[in-house]
Amino acid sequence: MTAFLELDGLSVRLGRREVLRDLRGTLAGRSIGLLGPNGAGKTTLLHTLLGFFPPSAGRARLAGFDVAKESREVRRAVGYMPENDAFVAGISGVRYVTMFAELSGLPRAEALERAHEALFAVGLGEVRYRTLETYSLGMKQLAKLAQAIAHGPRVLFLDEPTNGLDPPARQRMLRLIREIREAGEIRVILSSHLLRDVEECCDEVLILKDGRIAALCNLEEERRANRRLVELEVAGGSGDFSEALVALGCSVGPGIRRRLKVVLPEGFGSRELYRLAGEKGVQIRHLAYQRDSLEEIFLRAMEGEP
Amino acid sequence: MTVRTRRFRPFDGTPTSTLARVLVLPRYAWKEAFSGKLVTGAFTASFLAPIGALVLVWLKYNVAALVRTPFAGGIPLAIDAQFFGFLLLTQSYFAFALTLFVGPSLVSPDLVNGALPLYFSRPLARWQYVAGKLLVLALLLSAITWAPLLLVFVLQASLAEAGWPAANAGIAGSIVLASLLLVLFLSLVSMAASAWVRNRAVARGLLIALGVIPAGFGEAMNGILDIEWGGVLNIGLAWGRVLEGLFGIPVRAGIPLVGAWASLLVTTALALLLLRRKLRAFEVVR
Repeated sequence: MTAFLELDGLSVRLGRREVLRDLRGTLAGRSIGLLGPNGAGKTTLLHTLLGFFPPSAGRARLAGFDVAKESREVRRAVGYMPENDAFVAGISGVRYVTMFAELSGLPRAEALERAHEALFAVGLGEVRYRTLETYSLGMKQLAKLAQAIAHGPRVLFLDEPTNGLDPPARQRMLRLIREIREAGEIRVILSSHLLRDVEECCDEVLILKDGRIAALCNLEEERRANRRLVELEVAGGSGDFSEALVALGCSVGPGIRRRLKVVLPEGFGSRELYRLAGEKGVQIRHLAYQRDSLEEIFLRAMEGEP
Repeated sequence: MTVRTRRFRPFDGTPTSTLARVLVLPRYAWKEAFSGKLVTGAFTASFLAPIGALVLVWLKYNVAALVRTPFAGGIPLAIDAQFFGFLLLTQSYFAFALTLFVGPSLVSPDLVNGALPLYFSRPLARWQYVAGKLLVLALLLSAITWAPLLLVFVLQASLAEAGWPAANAGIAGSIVLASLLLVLFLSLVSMAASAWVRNRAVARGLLIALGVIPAGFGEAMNGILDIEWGGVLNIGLAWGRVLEGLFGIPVRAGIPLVGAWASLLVTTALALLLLRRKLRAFEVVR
């Protein structure tokens, strides 16, 4: 997969404070999560990619554009949903979305058509003629999402999109983000301090801590790797069973008593495990795929030295 | 109801030009500007003087219409530079009143509602945002300053003797120059004030205070130091002095013409600096 976001020693200084320090990495996922505790520099990174803050050192490329030198091209390609309230007073939802689509360079008729589409897509179709001031918090978040996608961006920046939402509204927002990702036309960069949001929506994660990259991991690969590492608890002749597993290409790690840790080869799943156990007269009492969850990855990253 | 499918498709058409994008801003802000009855009322009232001037000029050259009136012998009024100077001075009061209503509502709501990051995440530079918002006031104030005054000038030129237009061409230039200065000054200062205080009502108060407080300070300086150029702090006086210089209308003397121009231009430049500082996607707290 080609690199989509390249960070090459990117540093950003705001006033006297160096908020981002020497960020290096290449990300190519369809949906990239920026994860980190509050104040880690997630939003500053998004703003730097948008050209709001100039890099003090290094550079960053997004979708092939240098964010400092080609910020106009970057902004043309990006749809941005900010973290905080961002509204225009006194106008209806459809005018709000249309205006920002026009400002992104869409002709008036196309912008209006897409504004209606975007508002329906996020579930605000029925209230699109109401003024924004009358929207609830959840509706305002959805309106912000609509203005971010209406002009057909190649990249969608979502900054804490589930902030302040109740559980059903949060689920709805996450489902929408997954739909956008699955549609495959728009890449998503999601900044959040909520592990679940990132885990549900992203396939690559950049974890920030104190303005530095604490970890950079491909969740898809992690998930694939996790599917191959199994913990078993067996009853019966575990020795024969282990030998049979090794003979079939599995790696069997040392277990405590009747517990086994098995790395499965490609194409070898739980069905094959149970069949082999049946042949060897062994009962599998417990089977669990290792869950090296994002939470564990995150906690390891937070424990590491900055 | 139309059934719409969920499509997340990139826009692959030709994007609109920079100018077209800038013009989106006044188009959307225009409706908001005229949402209050006071603005509509003030805007309507501001045409009274130009309409009166048009009637006056027409009557001056159509004496027959004045039969049975005290002015049957003709209107004893010269249509000259001073006439246009006073007309523009009158219009500048209306322009200030309209600016008080419209100017602060252009920028401060965007700042208060956090809309600036949305504007600046588009291919739209900060100066283009300012230009787009400024166009609202520029169009509004143009409609009550140079546009109707030039209409009066054209009527006078068409009715007066053959040599009048050539002899008084400078008046048209002065009308345009003074009006543009007024439009630029009022637009930028009102936008800067609203960007600074982020509240429409307070910005209106600030604009009035800007006309009164420095003027009082200047008068105090004049009294204490026995000088006259303290008047440069009086924006109204400086504006009058500029009109005096361009149209020859008599106003209270006291400040040199250069000082009056400098007063207006420096205030405009300060407003631009303030806008540059305040209109950012995000303000960095240092």
